[in-house]
Amino acid sequence: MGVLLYRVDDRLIHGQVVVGWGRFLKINSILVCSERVADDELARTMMEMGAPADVKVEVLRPKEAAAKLNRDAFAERDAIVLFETPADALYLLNMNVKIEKLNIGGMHFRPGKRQIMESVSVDKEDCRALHELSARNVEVYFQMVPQARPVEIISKLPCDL
Amino acid sequence: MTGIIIVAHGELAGELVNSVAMIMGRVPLLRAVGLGSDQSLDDLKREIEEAWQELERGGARQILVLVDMFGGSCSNVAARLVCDSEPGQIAVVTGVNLPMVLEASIDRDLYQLKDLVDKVVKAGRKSIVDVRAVLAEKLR
Repeated sequence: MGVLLYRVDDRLIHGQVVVGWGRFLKINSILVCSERVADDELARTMMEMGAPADVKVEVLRPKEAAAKLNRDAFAERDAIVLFETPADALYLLNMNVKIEKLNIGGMHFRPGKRQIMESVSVDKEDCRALHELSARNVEVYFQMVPQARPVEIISKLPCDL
Repeated sequence: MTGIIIVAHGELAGELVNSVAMIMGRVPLLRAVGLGSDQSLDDLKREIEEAWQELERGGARQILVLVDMFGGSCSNVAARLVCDSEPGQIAVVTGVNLPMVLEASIDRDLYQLKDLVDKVVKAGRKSIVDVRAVLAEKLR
């Protein structure tokens, strides 16, 4: 019960999350914490459509998401919380949301980012947020799907960005 | 647990297995058999039987065969296998797509073959969506 997984995945709700993690963890809720998606009706609708009918999807701006999580609104649910970037996860931590572990899924390459693993590319902002999360005792690990082994990621971050 | 064999024309079956791995990670007791353009149907039947035996050696108690197209060579060969076996031993479902293979793979150990077939058929039907129509409905 509660939030079973905090995950950074720039594709947010997609097959790996719904089928891979969702079915594995037997969730009934997904909270998408993203300013961008919250402001984009089509993106929001696609997120809601992408989940099975028995999984409730909510798309909230980080500020609203923090308030909701701090009210323990998910205590009786089995939920996954999704972020597009580590910075959004750090924002929640700064708003006193209790995050013990942070799963890193896809952070795909874009110009200006540097690839550090097959599905993980980071820019300066990502590095800063991931380092700070780790320094504040959030266990940050890379794991694409439940069947894969979790991999330590902090030591792989470039220090010259 | 039920073993799964995907049977399809060309490379489709193997690529479905690869796509499943991308979404779920490696799935146990899942095999692909492809029908090549120069391959005989006797050959195909033998390959399916070999996959079946291999799955049984791996611990499969029954077999679900997912075939690409009803009425095609693959489904005709699979139908022959069904005729030659006991009920509850092997089932064949046609029209395989990615959601069906995912559904077949998940919680497989909790289902009898007959119930697994129902679950997979339902998932396949539900997966076909006219996106424009649904969006028009949702965004209205």
